[in-house]
Amino acid sequence: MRLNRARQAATIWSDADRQRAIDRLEREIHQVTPAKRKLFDNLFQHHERQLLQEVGTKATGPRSIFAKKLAQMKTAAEEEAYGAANMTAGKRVKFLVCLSDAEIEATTRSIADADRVVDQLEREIHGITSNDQMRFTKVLSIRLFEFDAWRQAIGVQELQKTIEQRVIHFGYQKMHLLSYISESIRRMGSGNNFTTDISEWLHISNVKEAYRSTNKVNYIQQMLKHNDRCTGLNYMEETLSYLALQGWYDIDSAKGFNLLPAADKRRNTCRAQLLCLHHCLKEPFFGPVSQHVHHLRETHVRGVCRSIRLTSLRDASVDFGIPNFGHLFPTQIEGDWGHEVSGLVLRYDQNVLIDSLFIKLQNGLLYYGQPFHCPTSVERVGLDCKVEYTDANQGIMPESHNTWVQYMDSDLDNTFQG
Amino acid sequence: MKSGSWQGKEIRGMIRTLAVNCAPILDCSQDAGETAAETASDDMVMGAVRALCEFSLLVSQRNHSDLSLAALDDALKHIYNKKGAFRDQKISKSAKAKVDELLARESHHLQEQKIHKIRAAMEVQLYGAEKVTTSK
Repeated sequence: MRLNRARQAATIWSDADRQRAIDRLEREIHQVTPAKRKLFDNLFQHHERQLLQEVGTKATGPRSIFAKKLAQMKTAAEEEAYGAANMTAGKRVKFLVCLSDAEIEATTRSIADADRVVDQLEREIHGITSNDQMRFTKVLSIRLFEFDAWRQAIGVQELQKTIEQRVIHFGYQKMHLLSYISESIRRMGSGNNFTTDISEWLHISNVKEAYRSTNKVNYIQQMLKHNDRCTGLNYMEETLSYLALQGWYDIDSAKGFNLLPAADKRRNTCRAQLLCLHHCLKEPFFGPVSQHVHHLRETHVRGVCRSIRLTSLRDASVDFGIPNFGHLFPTQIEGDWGHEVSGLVLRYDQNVLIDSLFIKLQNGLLYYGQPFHCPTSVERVGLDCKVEYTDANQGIMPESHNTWVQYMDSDLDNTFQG
Repeated sequence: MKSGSWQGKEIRGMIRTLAVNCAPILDCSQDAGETAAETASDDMVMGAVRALCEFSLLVSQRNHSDLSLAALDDALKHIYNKKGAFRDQKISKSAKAKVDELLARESHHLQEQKIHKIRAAMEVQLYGAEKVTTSK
């Protein structure tokens, strides 16, 4: 009961103290003279009277329109009396912070009155000595002083930074959508629609340049062929760039990208190539094909992949991670080279290799591509390899004719609607 | 940047001018007398610009691989980490007023809570845990 009475008295004291602190702060910050204070009171009373006449007997609660308008009137009267220069945002913040400090000070001071009663009660009930209480008060004041110094130096700045991060943020939907682009590409292929560059340039690269490359006779077929070749070249160029980044490039592509080390550059001079040619002629890398190959009942491919070893179609399908490789490969050979070459290479029963193939794996990795000429279809390109040498194609196509073969495994994600 | 008709090179043009447009918010920390905060701010701004350029160039690639997608994620992470450098440019009058109001209020709360914690910790030292539990 004594404690409650002391707290009640302290609260009354703190209200009066708070009002005094507000007056003092206003004097300090806004430089309010008594004359200005009187002017403000007169102005505010004048506005209040006008408002009461306008509102009449309507509700005058704390949340009513009357209260809001009264607050606006007060602000207007403050600006008129103290001048707009005194009401800058910085001074306003300083005033609010100092006011909160003054409130704490007033509360602490009032609590100190109550604490005296508490101390006396504690001495009576808990048996705490006055020396302990003095030591407690002394250490507490030191801690509070340290905390106040920290708050003035760092705490308010950190708090302001935290509040700014909370209030002023970049939480737009467009910013949030950026985080889904990577997942979208992984699932549905490259997003050509994210940029207008490709679609806006299509009529130049696919139409204007293609038409200029024709002889203006049956130009539609020639343009389509031109676009098809350009697409293949683009794939080749991008794959070579990727392989160069990964360190998987051959000498030819490295020469194209000027990525050869100095030792390799010396090795690729004309003289060095002539010496190599003489060496190859003496000891040819590809020996004569054994007659036993003709009688194999299992499809065999003499291939070179990452591990530089011979492999069969069945092993290649395991190595490349493409289950139906054995089926895709003959289909692709026939699609690219025609039935005649396919028959020569694979024999007409499509089961036995009549000749040996030298397949150089360019890119054994999975990557995702979306053809720009058909944005609604999604391809998952599984394997790029190059048929570098066959015994069968010597009479049909020149030796330097290398064909890029792309095996597409597109039955997974073809439901994307652009 | 004003464009009458889309020609497919607007995004590249915007990227070219992005660093120039960010020049006024730099603190010119290459001059003498720069502070650590100014240097850090400039690094944040230029890092965000670079990450944005990289992201835009990577996302417009026609083909992607694990390497390019990892670089895309990395650029996005850089953007998110450094976009706070542009907070001062985004602040409006109403937002500043709100920040000031919250600062005044939460400063009061912070002080009250901290004083209460200090007092409670010292009471534990003086009276032991029994006093704290009984007082609560």
